[in-house]
Amino acid sequence: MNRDRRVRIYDAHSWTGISLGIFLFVVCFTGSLALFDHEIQSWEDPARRLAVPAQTIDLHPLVEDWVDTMPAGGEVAFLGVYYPTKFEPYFHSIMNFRSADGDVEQLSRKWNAATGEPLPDRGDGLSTWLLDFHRDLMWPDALGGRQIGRGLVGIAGVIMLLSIVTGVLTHRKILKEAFVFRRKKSVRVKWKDAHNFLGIWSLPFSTVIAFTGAWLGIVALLLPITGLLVFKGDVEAVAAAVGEGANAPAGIVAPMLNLDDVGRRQHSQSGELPLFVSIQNWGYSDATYTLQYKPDTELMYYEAERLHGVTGEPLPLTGVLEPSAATRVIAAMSPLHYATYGGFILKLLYFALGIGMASMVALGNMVWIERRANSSEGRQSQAFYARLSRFTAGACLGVVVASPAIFYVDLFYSGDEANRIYAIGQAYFAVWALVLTVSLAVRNTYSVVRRLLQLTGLLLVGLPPVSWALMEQMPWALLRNGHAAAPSVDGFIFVLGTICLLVSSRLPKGRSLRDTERRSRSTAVSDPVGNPAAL
Amino acid sequence: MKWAIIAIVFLGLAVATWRRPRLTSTILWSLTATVFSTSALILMMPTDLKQTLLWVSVAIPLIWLGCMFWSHWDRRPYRPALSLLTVTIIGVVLVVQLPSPVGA
Repeated sequence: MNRDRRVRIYDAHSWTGISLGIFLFVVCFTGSLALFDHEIQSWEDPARRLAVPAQTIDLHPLVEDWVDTMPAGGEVAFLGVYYPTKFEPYFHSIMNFRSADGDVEQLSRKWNAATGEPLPDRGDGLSTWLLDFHRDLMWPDALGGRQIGRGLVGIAGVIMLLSIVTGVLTHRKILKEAFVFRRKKSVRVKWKDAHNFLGIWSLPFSTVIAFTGAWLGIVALLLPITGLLVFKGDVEAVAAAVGEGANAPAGIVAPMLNLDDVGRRQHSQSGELPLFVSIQNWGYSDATYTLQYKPDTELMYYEAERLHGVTGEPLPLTGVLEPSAATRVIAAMSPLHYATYGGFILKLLYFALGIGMASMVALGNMVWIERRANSSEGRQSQAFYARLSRFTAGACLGVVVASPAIFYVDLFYSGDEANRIYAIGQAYFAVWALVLTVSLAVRNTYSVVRRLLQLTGLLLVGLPPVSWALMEQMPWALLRNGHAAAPSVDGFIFVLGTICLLVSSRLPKGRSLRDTERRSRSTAVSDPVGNPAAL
Repeated sequence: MKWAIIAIVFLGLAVATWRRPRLTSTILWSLTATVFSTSALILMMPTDLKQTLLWVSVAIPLIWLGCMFWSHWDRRPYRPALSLLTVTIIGVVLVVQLPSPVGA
C-alpha cells in the first residue's frame, strides 16, 4: 500500500474515532453491562429469589381468568406465557390487548407458581435500563421511538467495523505491536501502545461484536426502509414476505389447548420442556401456539415447535423460525452478541473484552488529542485540545460512574413502580452531567480521572453490603436455596470495585515533569508526518 | 416553496460532494447506494423472496461498510462519489420501474 493511501486510511480511522468515539465508548461500555441482564434481574428483584416449586399450580385457569377480566369489545392480539425457571421462578404472562377503539395496550401478570397468588408487578428498573440503553439508547418516542435508537446503535456497529478495517490496514507491523508496551515512554506512547495492544488482541471479538451489533441494530432501521421500497410502502407485506405477519382471527370461538399440558410437552428431539409459549388468535379456532425451548445447539436463542391452538396438532414453522441457511445465520446473531452460548464465565470473558474495546476507543481519542495538543499538527490552540481532552474524559467516565450509581437508585427507590425506570434514567443522566461538568471545570484531567475511578470503585465495593441490608437476604442463604445469580453479581461487583480502586491508586496525579518537558520540546520542533502507523 | 427547498437541498448536496467528495461518499452516498442497490437486488433476484430478504439483511452492513471503505481507498476522490451516486440513481430507477413482488 502506498503512503498516500495509508494516510487516507489512517485519516478515515482517526476521524471516525474522534467524531463518534464517545458514542462508540458508550455503546461498548453499556453493552458490557447488558450481558448480565438475567443475573441483574435476580439481583434487583426479590420476587425472582423464590425457589422453583417441585409441584406447580395449574396455570391455564389463571390465564383464562385474566383474559376474562379484559373489557368487552376488544380482543387479545397476542398472549405469551413464561414457565418458571431459575431466573424467573414464577408464572409470567404478557398480553397485547386491542381495545374496541383499536388501541393496543401491553399488559403483564405474574403468579406464584406454588400458590397461584398474583405477585406484585415490579416496574421496569435497573436491568431494563442497562439492557435497553445499550440496545436502543432508550430513545424517546417524541424523537421517533426505540427503532431510531436501535438503528443508531446499529450505525455505531458499522462505524466500529470501519474503524477495525482501517485500523488493521494502517498498522504494518501488527504482530510486533501486539507485544509492545513501553511503560517508560511518554503518556502518548503509553496510550498508543495500550490502544494497539487492546485493539489487536481483541480483534476477532471486536469484529464479531461489531458485525452482530450492526446487524441487530440496522435490521430494525434499514430493513423496513428497504422493505418499504421493495413493497412500495406496504408495511404489512414486508412482515408477510418473511412469514411474520399475523393472520386475522377466524372469528369462531373455541376452547384453547391447556397451557399446563403444553408446559409438560417435551421437545421432539432434545426432550427439553418449553420455556415460553407465544399464542396468536387466543380463544379462536385458528389459534396457534409457538413453543420455545432451550436450544440443542448453543448458537441459537431458542428452538421452536408450533402447534394448533385447539387440537394440539403440530404445524410447520414459519417466518424466521423456518429452518434454512439464512435463518440459521440470523439465529446465531443474538447468541454471538450477548454471549448466551456459554455460561457465566463466558460472560465474564465478554465483559473483559467489551471493557477492553471501550478503553481502546477512549485511548484512541486521547492519543489523537494528545498528538495534536503537543505537536505542530494541531490547528487549534492548546487550550482547545485541553478542553477536548477534559470533555472526552468526562463524557466517558460519566457513563462509568453513572452505572453503579443507578444500582443504588434502584435499591433505594420507593415511589410508584410505573415510574421506577424514569427515576433511574434521570439519575443516570444527572450523574453523567455532573461528572462531565466537574471534568470540564477541573484543569488537571489526570487528577479527575483518578478521583472518578476511585469513586466508581467505592460505589461498587459498597453495593453488596447495602444490597444485603436492604433485601434482608444474605448471599449464603440464597446459595443454600439454589439461587447463585444474585450472589454472583455481588461477588463480581465487589471484585470490579477492588480492581477500580487498585487501578486508580496506580494512576498519576498529574502530568509528569518529563512529559511536560517533552511537550515544550515537541511544540518547539515541528513533528514530521511519517508513517501514520507510528503516530 | 416545496420545489425551492428541494432545489436548495440538491444544490447543497452537489456543493458538498464537489468540495468534500470522500466525506459525502462516506456519510451519505454509501448509505443511499446500499439501500437502493439492495432494494433493486431484492426485486430482481429470481430466488425465493423470503430467503433473499433474509440474506440481504445480513449483507446490508457489509455492503455499507464496503462502500464507506472504498470512498477512502480509491486514489481518485470523485470516482467513489460518482459511482455511488450512479448506483443510487440506477437503484431508484429499478425500484420505481419494477413491480412489487406482492401478487406477482
